[in-house]
Amino acid sequence: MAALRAWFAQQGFIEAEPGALTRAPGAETHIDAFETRGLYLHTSPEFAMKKLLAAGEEKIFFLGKAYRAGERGPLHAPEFTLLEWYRAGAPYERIMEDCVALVRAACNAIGADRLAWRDANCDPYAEEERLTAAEAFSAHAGHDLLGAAISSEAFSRLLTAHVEPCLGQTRLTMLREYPLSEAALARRCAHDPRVAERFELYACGVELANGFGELTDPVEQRTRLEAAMAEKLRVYGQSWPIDEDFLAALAYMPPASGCALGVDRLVMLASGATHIDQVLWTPPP
Amino acid sequence: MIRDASPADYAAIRAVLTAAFPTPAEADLVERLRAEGDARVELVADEGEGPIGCILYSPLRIERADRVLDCAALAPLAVSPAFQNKGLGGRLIEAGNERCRALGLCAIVVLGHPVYYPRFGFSPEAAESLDAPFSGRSFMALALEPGALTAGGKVHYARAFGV
Repeated sequence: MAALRAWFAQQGFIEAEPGALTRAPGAETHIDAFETRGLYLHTSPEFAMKKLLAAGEEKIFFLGKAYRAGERGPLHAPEFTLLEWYRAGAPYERIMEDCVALVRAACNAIGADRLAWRDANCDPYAEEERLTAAEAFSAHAGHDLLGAAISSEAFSRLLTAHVEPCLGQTRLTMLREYPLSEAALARRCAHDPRVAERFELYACGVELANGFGELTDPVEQRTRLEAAMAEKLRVYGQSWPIDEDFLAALAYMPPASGCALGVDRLVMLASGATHIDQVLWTPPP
Repeated sequence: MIRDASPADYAAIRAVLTAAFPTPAEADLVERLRAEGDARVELVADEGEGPIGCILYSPLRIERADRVLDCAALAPLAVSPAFQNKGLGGRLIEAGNERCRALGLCAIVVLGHPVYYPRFGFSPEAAESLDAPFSGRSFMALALEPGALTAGGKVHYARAFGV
């Protein structure tokens, strides 16, 4: 944690500490939040961080706890440590570079020269692989992602079962350019309107980070949030309120890129842990 | 031993699937297939203390000009991480395929590891003639009725797959 904070300090970032209690806990269709008395625990500090960007901050990071209900498994805990950072005025490629640098800084601090998970291991210092989602689905699931539309569930299932296990083998993989429907908070790619500026960093088949060229158009953002919440209602029978303050702030937010990284997972892979509980000081019951 | 899954196993099957895969997507798929009546063959591996592996086959139709073939899609297959690399997955596949054969199904289709599944008779060549949402060396098939896969046809998965 000290190494990560030192890295951000060296880059001139300011640490932000948004409250964990919120009215609108996130934007994701497939994530569940803890609810209490009409408020939620944040699933990520994204909306609050973007309000800070709108207020004029240019380089901010959050390192703290986030909460996602119903997530329990070797790689999931309902309370976990999230690292989230934003750069105003920077392209999302810059954030990809940050991601790789942070993984290396963490490995360096721990003294790990390999990342390992189950049968896989990868070298964090080797130059990373960069694949578009369409290239990865074509190579590993035999599916033409941009040619034939599939449901969000099918995307998620194919990614889990067939694509992810092939990523981050021997070296880090940066998966990028997701279909628009899988990137509620990302802006469209200038070169292809079917895909958006979203990337995920994989090591040993495990997703470590998720980043975006941030969407700053409040009208399109509302449309996509409403679509994500409608899908949430259809699949899970519940949806979250739209954060109107966030949408209002978006009109003032400069172009920016940002990313969220699962710190527990990074520590697991660097230390050879086989279950997230091994790296949690007080694992939840 | 390999046996049929029963409703009493469903919680344990979910645990196997969420431990074996990094997200609950496969566990959700199984529950949706069941809810829609599309869990045609569902088996578990159990060494006395409840399910440690599971396999599911759902109905898959191959529509040809002359007839519609009643087939199965194998997905998902999972073994708890602590029990992997002991041949349990293979025993589940062999028992499941045998069950499909006994049901009179024409073929089985799988999207899976291109080195693992050929051990059980699946091949990308057998799936080549099919008009499906997938292609390539991970998309494989096994004909149970001789010649079932030589004349092509359009593949229709159960609704829960979303393809």
